Amino acid sequence: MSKVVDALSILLVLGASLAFAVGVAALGERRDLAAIYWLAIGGLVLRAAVELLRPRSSTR
Amino acid sequence: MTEPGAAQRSLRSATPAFVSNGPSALGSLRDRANTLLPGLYAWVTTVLLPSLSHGAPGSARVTAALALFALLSAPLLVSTRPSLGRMLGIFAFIGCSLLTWLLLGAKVVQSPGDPLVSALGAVAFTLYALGWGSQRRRGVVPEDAPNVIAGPPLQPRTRSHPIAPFVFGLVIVSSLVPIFLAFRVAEAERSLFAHAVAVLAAILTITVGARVATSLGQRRALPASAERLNAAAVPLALSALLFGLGFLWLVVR
Repeated sequence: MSKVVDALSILLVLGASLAFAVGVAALGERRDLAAIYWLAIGGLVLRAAVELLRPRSSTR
Repeated sequence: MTEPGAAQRSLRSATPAFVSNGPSALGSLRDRANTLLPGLYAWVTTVLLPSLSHGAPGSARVTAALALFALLSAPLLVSTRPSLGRMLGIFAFIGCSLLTWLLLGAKVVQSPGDPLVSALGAVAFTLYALGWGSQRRRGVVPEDAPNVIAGPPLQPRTRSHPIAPFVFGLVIVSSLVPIFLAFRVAEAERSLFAHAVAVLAAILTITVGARVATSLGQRRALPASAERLNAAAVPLALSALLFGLGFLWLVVR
């Protein structure tokens, strides 16, 4: 299960990078709404990747 | 633990590598090739060529020449006068380049057919900046320094996962894609915003990617898998919701 979560975190980071790339490409094509949409998705996905690493409810 | 005084008792005479014998000019330039070569490329592609374009003000060409002077003189001085060398190589070169771009104004924007040249110029500036990091001189062995505290080599507390370098390399490559895509934006103001977004995205992606790569396989440092997934549930759910809304909008449109 831990390996699955590790793989998920890697996929989330790469997915966030892809979303940012699509958002920047949309900026160049003057599709501002689509750019904001993809940048927001990239931010949320990156946030999810961070939460997988250091969740606030972790116990020591 | 080795006592600090042991260094004095086992004091070795300074090796020639730590005594400055005034390297030749050619030797200084050769030693700083890691900054000189990318700096020259960056200067030629992003400073010299725009300043030589038709209609460029003479003041821009003067500042471009000053930037070149700072770039070439810094390696000659960095060995004997490190502070002055660094000031010339970093602040003077970058400052004169920036002043050249300001004086050129709209002419500094590359034509739409040269985004690759601009992108490579940016990469060259990055390599130039990295080259000014701490670097030991040729032939210097750190353990031969007179103030070193002898002792067994320090062992890392944990070992990284074997695929961690591959994962981090993949993250770096993927984070560069938005930066290169930003060079395809033609309009000046939109391009500036796209570059800012791309750089911010790259910084965030590399930061998180580094943490992911170093945490691979670290079972004791992380909570249970179920707890990790629960913590990421909210941003994952919001992402899924946004995806759903986007798909719905595509269908309805």
